Amino acid sequence: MKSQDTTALRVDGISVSYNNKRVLEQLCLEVGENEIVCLLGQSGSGKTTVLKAIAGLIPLESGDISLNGLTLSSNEQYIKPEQRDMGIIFQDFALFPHLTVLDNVCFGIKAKGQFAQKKGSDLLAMVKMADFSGAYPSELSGGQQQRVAIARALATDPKILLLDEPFSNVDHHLRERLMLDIKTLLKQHNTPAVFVTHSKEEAFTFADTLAFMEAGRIVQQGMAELLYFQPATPSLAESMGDGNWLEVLVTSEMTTNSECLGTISSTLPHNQVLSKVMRQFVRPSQILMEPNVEGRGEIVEGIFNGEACLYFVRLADQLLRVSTASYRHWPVGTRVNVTVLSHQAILFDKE
Amino acid sequence: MKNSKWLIAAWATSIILILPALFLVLQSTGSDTDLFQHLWATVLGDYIVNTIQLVVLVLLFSAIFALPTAWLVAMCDFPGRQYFQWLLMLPLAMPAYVVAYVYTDLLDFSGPVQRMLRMLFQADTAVSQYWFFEIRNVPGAALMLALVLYPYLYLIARTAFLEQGAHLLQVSRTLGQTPWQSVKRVAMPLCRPAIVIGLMFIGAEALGDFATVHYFAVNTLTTAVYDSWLGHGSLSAAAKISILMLIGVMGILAIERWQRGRQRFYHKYTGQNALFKLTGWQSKVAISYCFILVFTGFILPVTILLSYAIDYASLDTDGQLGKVLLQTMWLAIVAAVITTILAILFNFTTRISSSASATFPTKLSGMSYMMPSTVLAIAVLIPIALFETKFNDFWVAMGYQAPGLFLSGTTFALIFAFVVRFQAVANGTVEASFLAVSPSLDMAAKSLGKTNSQMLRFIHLPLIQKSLFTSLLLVFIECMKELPAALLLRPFNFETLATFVYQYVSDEQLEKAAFAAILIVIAGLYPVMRLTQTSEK
Repeated sequence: MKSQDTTALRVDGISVSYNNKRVLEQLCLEVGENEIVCLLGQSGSGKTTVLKAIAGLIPLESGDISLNGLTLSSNEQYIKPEQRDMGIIFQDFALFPHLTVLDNVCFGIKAKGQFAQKKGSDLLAMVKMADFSGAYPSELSGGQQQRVAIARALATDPKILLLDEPFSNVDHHLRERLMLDIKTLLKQHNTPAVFVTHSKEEAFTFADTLAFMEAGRIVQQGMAELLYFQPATPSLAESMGDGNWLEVLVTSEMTTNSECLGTISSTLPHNQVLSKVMRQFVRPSQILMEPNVEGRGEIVEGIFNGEACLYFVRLADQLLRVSTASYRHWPVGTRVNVTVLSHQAILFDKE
Repeated sequence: MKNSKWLIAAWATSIILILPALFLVLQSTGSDTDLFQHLWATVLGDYIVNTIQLVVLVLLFSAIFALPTAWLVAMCDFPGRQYFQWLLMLPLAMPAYVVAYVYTDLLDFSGPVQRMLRMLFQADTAVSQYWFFEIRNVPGAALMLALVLYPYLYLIARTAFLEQGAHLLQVSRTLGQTPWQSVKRVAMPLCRPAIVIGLMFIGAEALGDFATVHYFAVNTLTTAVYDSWLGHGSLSAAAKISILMLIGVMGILAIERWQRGRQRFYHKYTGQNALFKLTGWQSKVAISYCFILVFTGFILPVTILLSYAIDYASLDTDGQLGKVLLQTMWLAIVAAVITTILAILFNFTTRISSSASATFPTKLSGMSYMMPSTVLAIAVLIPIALFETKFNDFWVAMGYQAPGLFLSGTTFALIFAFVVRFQAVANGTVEASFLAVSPSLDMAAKSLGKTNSQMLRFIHLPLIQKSLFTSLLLVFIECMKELPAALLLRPFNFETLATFVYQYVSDEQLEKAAFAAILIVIAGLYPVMRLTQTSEK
């Protein structure tokens, strides 16, 4: 786990159960000041439960949660959700349908009257929704509702923002623009955030650091590059993108040997025991393929997806995924030579 | 157009079903105003005040009973919650006049409650020696009606609370609102349209009630409608008073619509529902409140009815019950079959027609459901009476003897009223099952050369037969229970189960009809079960 002197949120060993089923198990998480942390994981891994626990919406069985040094939840202390100074944005945005856009934004502002109206209007202008202040949520598109939800969450000057899959209901073409806008907004406000998603693309675009969850625990937290190139678990490796599982023998501290692909070199020492049989995860982009009539491999399927081509290559009894630049196009049946480029080896025990 | 015969049949039938409402409006502008003016100058003012008081109190009591229980069951977790979800619906099966009788019997001077109190406090048997509240007045009638009508509001409000989901309240909490503030600022305003619909329903039922207020000798507009027609034979005065009642209902609806404006409330959110776990005294208060309602609205009256039925089983009712039961069942079966056939006609026409106007017959035919029964009965009489008069005149002009009241003097008027009133029930049930049949089945049938009639017979009817049975059953039961329309429209010397029971209630002899009353309660339980199952889904 990372440790910073400037930690805003500290979640320390929390456990939560629903209907006698443990959902979070001794979970730890730290969020620095002005940092956006993404909780990434499969459905049912407990991501949303973490947000609800931080917001005080569900009780903890054990563990502590503190924000800026103030204990929010522990065995001795529980601060109610309305006293935690947090903003939360749900997947469905949860805008109050009986209130106008401006009334939604002003809902949580303690001061009433003109001050609240002015602050609400300023926030709407900031999220480029000033022209819709009199509209009702049902009259807005998904992206517009999302902006209003952001403005409403920021209106109370929260000490941290919690976002539960906020981009999943937004059109694909709007999503990236919106993510960058909101990220800029959070940075301008110096507001840290915990962001939940199951999409690695959203996580890469929006977050400063990623925390990957499996079965109620965080198995790895760090920069996107760390999780991509040095995943702590096979499940995390797969979640970060497609790949090939190869059975390999550790031949030196910088090399392994695969029966079908021969020697695979690592750019960094992998610190594994010599002669140990392991599983190596090799991404399609780390395999080089060249047509050769004498080649040992044969293309059995090719998928063009615009930015790249993904090929399925039969080599001995292994079906490999290999990606190439999209302009390199070969028909099914082409014989090819396949080699693995040097890269930082991702190795796991065979079991 | 291939569909034109279906459209013509649907439009023609729906116009016949809406005729009573149209004639009611026309008749109310008629010139026969002497009786109405006399009533207006003498008692109508008091009747209007009584009616307003009654409706307001019924709404108030119903809200007090239904809203907290709906909130508790939808949003809180406490022991027995899953049972109270449906137990709280049971009072809906009780006829209000039976409950009124039971409580009057219990709380009267000679009833067991006052006898016990006198014994406990050794008070003199003279009435003047102590104070005890009077039940036979407007608040008493309102309380009796609210005890059996609150489930309408409870059911609608509970569904509305459940559909809000947890997220809106959770967001409200994170925006600095306490649980109570969140209920006040978010949950209640969001439920307002549902609450208003529930209250409208209850208001219409309270407005149309005749039996309870008559038993308690409280004069309301319904009593005035009843007396104008049965006492003075003035259809015009009865229509004018009925229109007053309808204007009241529509006025409330219009104000609510206008006030709601552009807001959209019916947004279904997801999320867990049981938010607040109640423990300790909170849990005890929740259980007690729910139990008291179920006990007073259902368990106690049913227990007393059962004891009457056992104690007075040997009392002679001139062997009428069997005959009355058969008569009522016959009426109910005929009405149920007609409404279900018409529901098939309306819904099938909507399905096969591409024009938007094809939905109008279904809507038109269901509009009379919100009319109070007493008003509807008067409305049904008007076109029938007009037709009979014209027909008799024509017959006499042709040199024959006038056939007399060949429609209004027979069960025809009653069946017509039942069909007009309960067509919406059949429409709703059949519509849901038609919607569940995939449109691609129609296309497949058409591509295989089937006509509309063949498609209905061989594809739709076999697929929707379950809901046709449900529709038959629901209308059958509603007809078995219906009282005000039956009281006004039954032929001379003809009783239905409800009028039979009511006759004994008004004679202060419910004991003799306790078994018949239990039959009505049992019949009423089925729709309650259906409603509960539907809301669970």
